[in-house]
Amino acid sequence: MGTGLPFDDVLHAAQAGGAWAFEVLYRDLSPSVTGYLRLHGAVEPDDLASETFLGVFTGLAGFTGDESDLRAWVFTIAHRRLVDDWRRRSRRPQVADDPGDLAEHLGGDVEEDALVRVGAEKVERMCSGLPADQRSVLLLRILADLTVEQVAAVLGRSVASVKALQRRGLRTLRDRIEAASPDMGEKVGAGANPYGPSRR
Amino acid sequence: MTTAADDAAVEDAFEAYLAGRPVPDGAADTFAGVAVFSEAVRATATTPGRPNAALAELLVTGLLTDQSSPSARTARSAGSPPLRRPARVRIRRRTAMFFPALVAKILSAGAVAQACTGAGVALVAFTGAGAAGVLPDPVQSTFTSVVDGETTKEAPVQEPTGAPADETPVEEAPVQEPVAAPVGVDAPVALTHDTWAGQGPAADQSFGDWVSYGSEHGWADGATVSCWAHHRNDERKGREVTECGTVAAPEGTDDSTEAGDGSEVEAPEVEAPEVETPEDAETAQRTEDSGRSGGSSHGHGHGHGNGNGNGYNSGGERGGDSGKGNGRD
Repeated sequence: MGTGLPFDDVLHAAQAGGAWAFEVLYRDLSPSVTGYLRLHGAVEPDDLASETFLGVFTGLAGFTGDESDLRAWVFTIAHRRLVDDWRRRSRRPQVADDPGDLAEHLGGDVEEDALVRVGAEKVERMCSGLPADQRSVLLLRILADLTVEQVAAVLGRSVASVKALQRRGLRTLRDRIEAASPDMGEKVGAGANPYGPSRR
Repeated sequence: MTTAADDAAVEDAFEAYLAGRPVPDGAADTFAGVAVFSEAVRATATTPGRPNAALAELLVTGLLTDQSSPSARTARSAGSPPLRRPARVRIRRRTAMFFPALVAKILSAGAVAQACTGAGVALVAFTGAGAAGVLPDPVQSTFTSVVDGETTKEAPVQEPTGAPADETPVEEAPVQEPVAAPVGVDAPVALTHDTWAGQGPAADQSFGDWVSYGSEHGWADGATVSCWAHHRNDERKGREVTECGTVAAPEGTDDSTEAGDGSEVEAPEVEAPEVETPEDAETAQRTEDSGRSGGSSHGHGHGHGNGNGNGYNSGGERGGDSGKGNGRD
């Protein structure tokens, strides 16, 4: 796990109701879950994430699987909580008309620009410009590190459907970024490949 | 303008990026924006969300077996304080926790502390049983004598309070008047051994004063005092009273204690069986009842002795155990 503890030990302790194991799982999974809910436009992402983990911890006794399965299961619950929240509010998530000017501030070192200049607000605006299905697929791939098959299980779709959604989502992103900054690709491509193994 | 080839290249680059592999050189240009977006997305999700009250409680306490539905509390807002249990529940839980904690504390104490605690409980239990008059007759007689002796000793202690040394000889004379006065309704001065033993304590005279008066004149003996102690206890409990006067004073005994008119009642031999029969029955009954009554008395006694709530409860519980022991004997 991200905490360095053996996953099986943490899982067994959490299934027995151990508070420390709950906290380990929460610290490991909560950032990505909360980020997923926030980037989906949830009004109260912290509350939704709390409801998600309450459901996770109370239902954890019946869970079987490895760490990847647990992550997929947690995001399944989070996604259902999100859909329930949408239905409860009887409206679609707020979508900004302007997809954002992500590329206008980019230039030079792409990673530095991305981490320093592209703030959370602009990321949210970029996400809100994506259709909900495409956004879900991309966020589950990026934030939750789920495979296509796992994303399909979370969303209740077929693998082919998820692949198609992912392809269309990536295209939409590229179009919006390139439209905002046509020369960004040249700047990036001028140097060595900056997209090597980044963090894994 | 994007083409299908570009889509495939970006898709492959995206999979390589997610898997931690190097992105192919051919897709680096087209994938640049997506990579920036992906890193930015990850950068926004690095801190845990703020848990609401229910989740925070769960993270602190864990999931106990009796917490069947904590999700019922998730509807409450995140900033609201956790629910407080009703006061009665808290008191019940506190009471339920008290006795095990007390027993554990006693068990964890040292041998000397345990011995002192046991001796204190036994002493208080004995005192309570003696005050209630449920001890066996010989023990009760001894207890009554000791208590009356202590009562007699206490009287002079209170007497000189506020009295100067000069007035001491003057007040010595009235000291005996209040003792004799209640008895002296019939014959305040001419109280003899027979009337003292036959009539017992007067209506407005305390038992201790009566015993003290008798002991001052050398009349008090264990049988008479014990008999009148039983008599008094029987009256208090509404049972058939024990007749006294014939036991300790064979000569010219005044037996009409209830009438109080000094009239002599003859044929003590006739009354003897009537007295003994209920007494035997009462003795057996007392043996049966001593468990309950003794237990409750011990509890109160210990509580006063300790002078706090903990001691009171402890005494009650331990007193009950002692009472059961007496009952079996």
